[in-house]
Amino acid sequence: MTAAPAAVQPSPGFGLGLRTAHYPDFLAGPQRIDWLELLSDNYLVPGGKPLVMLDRIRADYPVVMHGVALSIGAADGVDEDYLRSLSALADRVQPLWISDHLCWTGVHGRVLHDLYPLPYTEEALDVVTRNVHRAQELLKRPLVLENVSSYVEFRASAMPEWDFITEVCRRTGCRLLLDVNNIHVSSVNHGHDPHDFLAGIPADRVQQIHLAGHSDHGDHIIDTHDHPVADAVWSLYEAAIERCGPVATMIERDDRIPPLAELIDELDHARALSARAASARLRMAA
Amino acid sequence: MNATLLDAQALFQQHVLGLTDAGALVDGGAEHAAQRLGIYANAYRLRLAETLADSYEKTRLCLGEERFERGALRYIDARAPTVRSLRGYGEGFADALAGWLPNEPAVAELARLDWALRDTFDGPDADPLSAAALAAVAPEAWATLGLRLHPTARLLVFEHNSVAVWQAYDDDAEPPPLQRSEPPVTWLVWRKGLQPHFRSLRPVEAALLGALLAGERFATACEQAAGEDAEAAVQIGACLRQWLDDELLVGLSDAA
Repeated sequence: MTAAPAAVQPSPGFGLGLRTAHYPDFLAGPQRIDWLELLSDNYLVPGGKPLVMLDRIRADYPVVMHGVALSIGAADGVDEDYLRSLSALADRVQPLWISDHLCWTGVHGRVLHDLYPLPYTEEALDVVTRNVHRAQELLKRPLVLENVSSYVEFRASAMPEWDFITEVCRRTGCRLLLDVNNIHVSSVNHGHDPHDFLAGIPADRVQQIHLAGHSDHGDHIIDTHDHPVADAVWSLYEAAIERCGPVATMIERDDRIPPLAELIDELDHARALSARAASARLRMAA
Repeated sequence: MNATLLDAQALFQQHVLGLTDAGALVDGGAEHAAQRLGIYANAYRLRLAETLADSYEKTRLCLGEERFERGALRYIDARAPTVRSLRGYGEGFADALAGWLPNEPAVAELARLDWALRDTFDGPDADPLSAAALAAVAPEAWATLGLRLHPTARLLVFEHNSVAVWQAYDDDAEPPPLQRSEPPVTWLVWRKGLQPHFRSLRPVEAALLGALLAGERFATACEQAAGEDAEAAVQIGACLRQWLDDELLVGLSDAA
């Protein structure tokens, strides 16, 4: 693909991941958030309450779709039936965009339901490029791909993660879901400077930002989404929006889920940092 | 086609599944590689065990955390998932428990109920048949009429008081001891609106629903049910009214 890819969509503001524990809050009345991210895989079900709740809540909020099972880095190709089911869900909810992870989840017919890192090689670039093209063709839109937390680095890797990501964007026209917590987690786990990551990725391809908490195990960190966003991740978020400008930002929480109001308060911190970065940009421009 | 990456991914996958050592793929020395690959291997089992615990909540309460986890890990080690949805992953767990705990058959019954309710929760939708639509069936049409049941409807035959135990756990009450119930009781599990339901059936209703679920026309179902009880004819009318209330009927077909 040589033509310049279309610019990312303008930011819809600040959002949260939709979780079942918060359904009653969303049904009870308007909440102070701009959009919701739904976990696509939770709604690829035959029927019943999940889809009814989704339709009701969707009527009040713009949504983006976020999945975990695409396995865009699998060397034996993408699952076209899965892509078709995602496409059907997209027809139903009309998301702003569809995201998944730059990773693989299994090969040879196994689906291990985890997000495995890729070796950063030319060969993996070829695989990902081929798979992203096919996925974008079936979904009829650019994919948004998220950097994963990783616990290993592969001997085969020939370039840093950020160069690999940049090249995937360049070859496929896909966009990025920058998970700032994952940048932090991987940087600690592998002894990198997270600012090298931020400086290395194409800022103009960043469509969305994820913030989340993690668990610190001393010599390594695990991406658990069961704590508030850590201070180090907030600092890195400031650096990210300084570099990328205003980006759709949300907090992910998957375990020990607090009341919705608590997450909305936490999201206020993202709003405040973003406002501060915006006024700094204005001062610079003046 | 990309044999090298595919081989590396297959090797990594075998490590996660506990079938080989993929340390050679990983940077940073053998000990480091083992520790970090171990994070993935643990996370794999943990995620699937959580999925089973979520699907088999009452079974877990009955078995206790430790025994449940042992069973879950045994199940996981025997079944690497092959589909992108985790929804159906636990489907065989009740049968597996029945095989592992031959002296505690009630545990598998509890698991079957857990699974039926879980599966019913987000099973297929269907609009309920109205009383008016049923009333509009011409008398001569009943001879060949088929009645379609809600796609989530299923029957479970239990030889123990497992439903009472399930109910007690659901009410946060002290469960009664698991014991045999004689004769076995047939239970109907289905979804009404958004809510999974279950109720016990008398023999006539169990025979009727069993026949309808097997695809028999209504008249044939009635013949089979008549063998259960001399008063069957009286009960059948009451069953039809109950099924309308239960939103269990979703369509009519001429099975002729």
